[in-house]
Amino acid sequence: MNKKAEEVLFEQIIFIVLNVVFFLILLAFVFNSASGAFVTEQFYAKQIALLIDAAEPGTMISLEITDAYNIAKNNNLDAQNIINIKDNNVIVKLSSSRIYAFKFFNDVNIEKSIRLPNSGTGDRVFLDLFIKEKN
Amino acid sequence: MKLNKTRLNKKANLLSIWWFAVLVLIGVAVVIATSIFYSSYIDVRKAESEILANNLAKCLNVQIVENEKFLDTFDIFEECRLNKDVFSKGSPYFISIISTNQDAMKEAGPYKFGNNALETDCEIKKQAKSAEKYPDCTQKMVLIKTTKNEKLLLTIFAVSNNDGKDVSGGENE
Repeated sequence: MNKKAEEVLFEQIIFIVLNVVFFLILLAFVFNSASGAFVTEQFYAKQIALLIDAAEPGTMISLEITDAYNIAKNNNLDAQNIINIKDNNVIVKLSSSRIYAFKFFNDVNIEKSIRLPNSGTGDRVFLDLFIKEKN
Repeated sequence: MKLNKTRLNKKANLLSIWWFAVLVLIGVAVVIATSIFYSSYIDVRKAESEILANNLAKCLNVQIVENEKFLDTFDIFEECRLNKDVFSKGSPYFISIISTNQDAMKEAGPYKFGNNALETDCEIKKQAKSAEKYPDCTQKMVLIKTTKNEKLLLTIFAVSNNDGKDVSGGENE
């Protein structure tokens, strides 16, 4: 009888441990998806393209990109290359597996720079875009 | 004693196939729901078509009123800062401009640029109840007065079907 009770107790402990492990795995999956690169890449590429399209030459745009910087940092990517502007495309790369590109129609020259946390911005990261007339 | 035995037997069924089935069901539901939510598509085509129409309205106003030029006498791509390559064949953009002289009731145009197929897609979208994959369209009407005191009604139709893409194949466009 004691042996049987031990078995039942053991089974109950396994049952509880398995439940806890299962829900921890689910939680980890949800948090991992929430901080994933896909939506953030899309969000920044589209936001930057729309800002450029609506801008006149001579405009200076400063956009906080701390979220994107943190994701790229977790994926061991060079912070200066997470956002590039090439051939009328805004190209965002926050993970080593994918690059997202979004077109814009405004025919302008763009000077881009990224201000990292050690450049007097506190913990925040900014993307500076200077819109210039095309030569 | 008999009762205790029954209880013990019941507890022994904790790790049953049904329990595993319930876990799998919950897991699959959470994975599907999370994947759908976090892979959602951000649609900015309407905003983009509105920006395009606004930019054109501003630019045409300047060209017609201040510079006294009209659509057949200037290069819209150069004067309105539109990238010609982006409006080439297979482009995700389309523009159509019609000018109506309200005094002489004379119409000029339509002047069309970009991907002509998108114009038809807009007509289909207007009639369809749901057409998510079809482009978003903006029509803007602007009344301007020229230096010769003529009233021109510009009908600007701008379309965007720009949804971006994954270019992780290595070639950044």
